[in-house]
Amino acid sequence: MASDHVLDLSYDEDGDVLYASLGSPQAALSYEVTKDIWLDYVSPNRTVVGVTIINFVRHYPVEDMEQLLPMGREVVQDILQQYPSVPIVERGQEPEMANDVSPYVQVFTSGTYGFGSDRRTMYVGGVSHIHSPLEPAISGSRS
Amino acid sequence: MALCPDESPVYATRDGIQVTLYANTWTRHIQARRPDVTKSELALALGQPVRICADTSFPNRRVYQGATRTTGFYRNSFLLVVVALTDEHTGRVVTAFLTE
Repeated sequence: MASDHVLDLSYDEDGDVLYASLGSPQAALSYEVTKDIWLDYVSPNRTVVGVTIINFVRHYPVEDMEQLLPMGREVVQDILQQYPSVPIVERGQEPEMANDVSPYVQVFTSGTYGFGSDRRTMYVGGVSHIHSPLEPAISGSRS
Repeated sequence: MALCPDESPVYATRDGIQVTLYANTWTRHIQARRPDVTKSELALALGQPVRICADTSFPNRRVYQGATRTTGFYRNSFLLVVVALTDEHTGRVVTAFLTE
């Protein structure tokens, strides 16, 4: 049972990323369950073994940095309680959010992947625009 | 790839950004937390990505998708590298992880 393991936290202040793992970090896949919150999970049962939160302080403002890790621990424990495992999302069954409100905008594709050929993740499913050639797309994305 | 004095490599991305992988970020965080992610795989994702995505919520963020793994551990997964742009032409690696 995941909760039997010690929660190991670290914070990258430069990148504003909070990392948490149940026990020692291990090779895992990640799944973005909601904006900037990635569940790290292992096969075969998609058991969650860790959490990574990008832009942690932006999402969870902390006045006293000494309180960051204790607060991070509470946040992560709540997430782990809510998501003991990662749900399987079949192709074509992605949440509506993936197509409608995901903030990701594709600015480049190598052409070796056809758009829509791999929509297993919210990340890929969230792509809402394809620009080509590259340079105008990049300029446009910064406007 | 250039090398900073503190051994933080700088990678030229496909879309013309010079991205620094700071030694501290790599050794203390990414490598420590993602034992299956290699620096060479990260470099490939930046230099030869399958996709690059901007993030409308965070205009200074860009995400680079590496090629799908065809062999080894977590075959069929691919690497995502999150980059924070520091200006129009430079950025830093924030984190990286495997997904599918």
